[in-house]
Amino acid sequence: MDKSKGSTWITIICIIIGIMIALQMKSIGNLGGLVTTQRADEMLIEINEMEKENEKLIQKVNELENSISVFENQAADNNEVVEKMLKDANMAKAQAGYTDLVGPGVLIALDYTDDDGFDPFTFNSELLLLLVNELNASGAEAISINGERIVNTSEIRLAGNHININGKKNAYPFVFKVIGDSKTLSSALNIRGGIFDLLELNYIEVTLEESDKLTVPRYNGTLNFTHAKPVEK
Amino acid sequence: MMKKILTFVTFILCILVGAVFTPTILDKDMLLGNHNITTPKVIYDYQQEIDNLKVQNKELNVNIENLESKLENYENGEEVDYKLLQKELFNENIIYDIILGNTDVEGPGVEVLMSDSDEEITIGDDISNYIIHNSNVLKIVNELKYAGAEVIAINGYQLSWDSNIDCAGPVIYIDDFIAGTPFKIEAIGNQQKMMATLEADDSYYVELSRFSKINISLREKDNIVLKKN
Repeated sequence: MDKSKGSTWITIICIIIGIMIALQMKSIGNLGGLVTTQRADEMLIEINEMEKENEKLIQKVNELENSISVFENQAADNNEVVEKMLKDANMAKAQAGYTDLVGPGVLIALDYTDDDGFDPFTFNSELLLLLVNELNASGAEAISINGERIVNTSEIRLAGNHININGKKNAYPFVFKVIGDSKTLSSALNIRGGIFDLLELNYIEVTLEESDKLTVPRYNGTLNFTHAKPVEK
Repeated sequence: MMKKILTFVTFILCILVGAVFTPTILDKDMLLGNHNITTPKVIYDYQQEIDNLKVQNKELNVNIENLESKLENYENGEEVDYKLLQKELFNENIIYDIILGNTDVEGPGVEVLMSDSDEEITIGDDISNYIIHNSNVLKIVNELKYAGAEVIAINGYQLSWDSNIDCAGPVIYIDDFIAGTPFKIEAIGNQQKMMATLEADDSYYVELSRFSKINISLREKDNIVLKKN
């Protein structure tokens, strides 16, 4: 009697241990296994160095642009043709996305919180594209996503398991900065059955904030056309 | 005696249970505090950041090179060379004109033709599988941009970043321009790169051509001429 009672207990305990080990293995597996921090530390150092270099380069670009514009402005004071051309160039620059723009608009944040390995943005990567399209339809004057200014050649495309914007890898959360009429923008986005409803149907959390002063960063790529040429007349 | 053995076994099992639990709890602390053990997700995020910074620094370096050569040209002579300045600004304005669609452009590229399906629609079929939607066009355009297209036009209308492509019943509106089927999407850029991207297995073009009923075709075009808007 005593013996059989004991083995019952041992059986139960063994089952519990088995379940525990299985659960632990599974939870570690969900995280993708474990790795040491050595590689992560190395990468962190690399990131720091590159960020410093990046800052230096940005500063240098600003300095060069400043001295060029000082030079051009001085020349423009003495020459009307140059003045006119410079005005055209500066206007075009702003329109094409090569200068920082400041103005009223909306700040849109898209996020997904459940930590279950599902990513609605890579699962359905055209949602961001549709949002940009919708913003343009409602009169956006400048758009940036996670600091990447949307210009003519900007792509928003799934590449592997991240989303490429201007050739840079992005993952959620996505922050959109949009300059335009904030009332029009927010009503256009919030319309029933509109883009926000579509995003929420895809389990994306959407927050919209109207702002009086937003800064949309410039596009940092180069502008060179190697294939397209203006038609000679 | 039997009872003693049983107690002993239970004791050992309890220790085992404790040993199983401990790493789980410890791991969590380590993950939060970023100590000795980390997950591949962290490494993956870092890698992403490094890659992005690499691209950014490359872009900035090219920018600096261009600006330096420009400044050098300007400061070459003792006096201001107005002719040179005008030439520089003229060239700059040409580039902006191309970006903003204010000039006729030409160059080599590819052409994607899309039209609604000619197949007969049988009862029970969803008509929306047979016609082209604005999102189909939008995604093809996006893919062309990804492949490095420099100028893109739909039915001859040059697209810019703020063009919106909207469904309007039988036609699609691109800003104020009305486009009907067949849609002719022309892109000027590197032909080989664009063909390779569009014909790759994971491309949207391949997805459409294989799995949807609409007609879609792709061809290289040696000289595309696009009128200004």
